[in-house]
Amino acid sequence: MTYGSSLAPHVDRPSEAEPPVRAGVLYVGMDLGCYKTSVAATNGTREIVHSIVGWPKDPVSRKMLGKDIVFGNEAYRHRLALDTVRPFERGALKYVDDAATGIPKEKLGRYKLAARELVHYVASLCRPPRGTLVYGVIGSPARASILNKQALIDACKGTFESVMIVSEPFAVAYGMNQFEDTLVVDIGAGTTDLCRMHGAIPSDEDQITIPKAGDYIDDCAFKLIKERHPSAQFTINMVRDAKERLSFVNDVDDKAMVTWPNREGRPTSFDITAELKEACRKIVPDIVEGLRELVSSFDAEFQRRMLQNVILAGGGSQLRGLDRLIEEDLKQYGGGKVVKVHEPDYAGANGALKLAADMPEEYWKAVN
Amino acid sequence: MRFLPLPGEPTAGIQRIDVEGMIRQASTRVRVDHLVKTGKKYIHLLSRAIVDDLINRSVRTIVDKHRLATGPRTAGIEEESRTEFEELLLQYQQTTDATSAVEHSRRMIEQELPKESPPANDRTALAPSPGGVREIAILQKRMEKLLAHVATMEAALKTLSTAKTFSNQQVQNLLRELGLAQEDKNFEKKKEMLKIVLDTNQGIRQKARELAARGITLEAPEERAVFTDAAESLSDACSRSSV
Repeated sequence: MTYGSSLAPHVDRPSEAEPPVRAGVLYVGMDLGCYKTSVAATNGTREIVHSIVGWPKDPVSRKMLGKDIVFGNEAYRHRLALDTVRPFERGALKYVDDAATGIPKEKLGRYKLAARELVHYVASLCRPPRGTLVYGVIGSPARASILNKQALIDACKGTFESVMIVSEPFAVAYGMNQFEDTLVVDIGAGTTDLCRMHGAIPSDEDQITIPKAGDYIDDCAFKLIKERHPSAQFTINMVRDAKERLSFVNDVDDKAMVTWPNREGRPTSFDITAELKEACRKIVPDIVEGLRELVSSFDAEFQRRMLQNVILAGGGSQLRGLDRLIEEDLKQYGGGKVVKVHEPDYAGANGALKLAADMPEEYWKAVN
Repeated sequence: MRFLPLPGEPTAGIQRIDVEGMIRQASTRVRVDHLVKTGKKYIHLLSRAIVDDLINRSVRTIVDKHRLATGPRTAGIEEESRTEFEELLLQYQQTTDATSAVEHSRRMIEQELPKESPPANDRTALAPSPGGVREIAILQKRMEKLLAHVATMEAALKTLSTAKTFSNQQVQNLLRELGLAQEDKNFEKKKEMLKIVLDTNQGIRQKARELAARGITLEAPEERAVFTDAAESLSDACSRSSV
């Protein structure tokens, strides 16, 4: 497959007469998340942006924003003035087919365009010098289909000179040099990916994708809060924000207090501790069940060792006490040790970058 | 505290405060008969010496007050400065030791070199024995190898220092060449994994092309579970290539 020119000429807009000069290589690792996208590059760039693309709703908003297309955090901030698309929401393009996402058919083209634009924007944050070859490794959910992976490759066309797709939990494990007897749990927004590392590249049997992750917690918390605090006025974004700031799943005396408007619009304090905790705990049984499945189907001799090395990554791993709660649940299978990665938001991108940097030059040419 | 020096008085090192000028600026010039007219019969006079003394006293009071207030902090700063100074001194000593060690090694090499490889005209003068000739030849060969190594290192360093953007692979190769790269115990494993990543990615593209040719896309997925299997992709690729 041939790609368009590398990203650099697009960014710097060289004149047509100027022949492209290929000097140097920039390796990029990208974790395209349903909610946020993180990127790391060999020139030291590390960015995290909202996976959102927006087009001004009308000439007024176009005039206000001064742009025809808005990305990331800026699009999130001005989302009311924009027609926004989260290209990877509900697993779109990433791990389910288009019908399963529930997205209307007429909008699918826009999702693909948004994905392409988002990848281009995120890569441009790495500021590759003109003429630099940009090679990228992109993380995809563990059990993404061929079509989903191809959709990601298509989204990268014109941005990267060459691109490779790897499973997200494998990228995390690679980044941490954990190749043996390790179980990686990558809790994102759309999916929780589990991966068994046993010294070889994980196959399908070594990986599980659970469609319950951050978004599922938000939905559950939203319903529970709506039910128990009917007088509160809030949106799913406000619930997500509260979850990111205040969530914990262990039994501590902390309180999750939020100040939201009540029916009359007056700011009121609401105690949402129980609701958040209940919602956050809902993903734990599936994770433990997934871990059990991966361990029990593995060589009996190594099962115990594997349970002693469970790594939690992704934004969802930041839920306070989640590691201890999983450890508690693993006691029924003889106990285990769960540790969180150092940088949950960047673990996938860092791993992908490490893979990209280690990849021999000829492989980049051979893959196309 | 001093007034402005008188003409001819030495000025170096004196803190100049124009008290006279300041008094002149701060005060108002009034005629004596005007004061008398306004009913003021007595006037308090203040000599320059007393003004000087008063200023000195107030300055001293303020300084003492601040010294008392900042006393413990100053002690802390002194302590910190001392620690920092000691650290710097230690670093300096270490650097000096390292420099002298390098210098010593250099001298040693210089002393050794003429022994091992005397200059050409000396060589003829020395007229070595047949055994010595062989030894010199070996040493010369060794020297050539060393010089070649140094040249490679220099070239590598030049590449590193002049390149604007490095390929990590290039940097790693150069570092390995220089013996500075940390050996990765998982090197072989990673190499195998990277090969499989490549094969899998080639498989994805090939299979996607085939599916597209059959009209199977994300919009119209005939077979929903077309999961990537590295082994399967590989075997498929192999069977296709053999055909």
